[in-house]
Amino acid sequence: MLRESAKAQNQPVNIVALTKPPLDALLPLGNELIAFVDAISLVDFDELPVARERLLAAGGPGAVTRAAAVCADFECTNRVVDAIGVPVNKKFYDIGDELGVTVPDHLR
Amino acid sequence: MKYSRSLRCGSLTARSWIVNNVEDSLVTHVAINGASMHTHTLPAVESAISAALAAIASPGSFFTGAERIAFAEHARAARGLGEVTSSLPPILAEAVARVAADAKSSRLAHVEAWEADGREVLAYIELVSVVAQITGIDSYRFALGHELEPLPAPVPGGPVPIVDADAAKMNAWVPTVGVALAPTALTALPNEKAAKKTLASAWYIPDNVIHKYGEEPGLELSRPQMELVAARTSWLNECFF
Repeated sequence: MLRESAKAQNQPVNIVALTKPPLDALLPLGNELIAFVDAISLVDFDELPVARERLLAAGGPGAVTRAAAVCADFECTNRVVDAIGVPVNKKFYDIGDELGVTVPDHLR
Repeated sequence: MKYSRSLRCGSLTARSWIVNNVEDSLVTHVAINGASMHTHTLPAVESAISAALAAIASPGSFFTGAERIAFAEHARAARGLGEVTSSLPPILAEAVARVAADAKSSRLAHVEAWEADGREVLAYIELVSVVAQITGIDSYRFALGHELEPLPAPVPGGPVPIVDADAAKMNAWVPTVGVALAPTALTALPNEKAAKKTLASAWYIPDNVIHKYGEEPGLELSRPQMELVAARTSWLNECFF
């Protein structure tokens, strides 16, 4: 959906940056958003305040809150789909290859 | 099972350095233990979280409110965000911890073991739903430097099964209504599906524009920025959704 929405909006995006953060995702606030998500999802007590302040400074308070909300939604949904064994749609296999990840057998 | 790590936020200091009104939200930033707590709020999210917590504390289709609150407590502890004061049968405690802290390790064998223990597979869906919801809520609070909500007192009463009669095993490990996809994952239990959807609608892109990729929902981040957050979260969770 990242690729689709960026394409629909003529917004350049480098999806490989998803898996290799030093790369630039080419989106405004891309680096700040990734650092914030990393601190949340990895429950990193030390990095989180730093990442939050960086995103706040660059994007403002609304960006911080919405990023937290979207991350929370996927923390929730990821657990549901993994725990009940929702198979990965075959159309995403190619994206997995592009990102250097392989869909595990139990989700094919 | 005991976990000692707890959230390091609290002890609000008196310092407040930004106060600003933005449409329907209030923005303040106050120092907590030397770090900031972000208090820009989204009313729809606050409302959805309140509703979700109330639902978690209420009897479900297969578990009492007390059991569901115990799931939430164990889920917090499994992520290092709280301590366990309640006890659960081992198969429930293990399932909660796995879904909360290592969902990617879930396998069909876990569901089979659940059923071999004499439990309804639909009850497993309820457990997954409760754990996933509290994990999302806690992640949101943690992200913003907030205290986690105290878990509400359980509502008395026994479980009342509310199950969609059309649910059947399709392509997932548990019954769903129709093909199992992220939006249909909890469809066997309509109340759980509804509770999760309420949260999702407040946190993410509204349903009416979710697949209109060129359309901006008019939120605080652009759609591609929100998708970046979503995709990175899934990547870190080793989830392919």
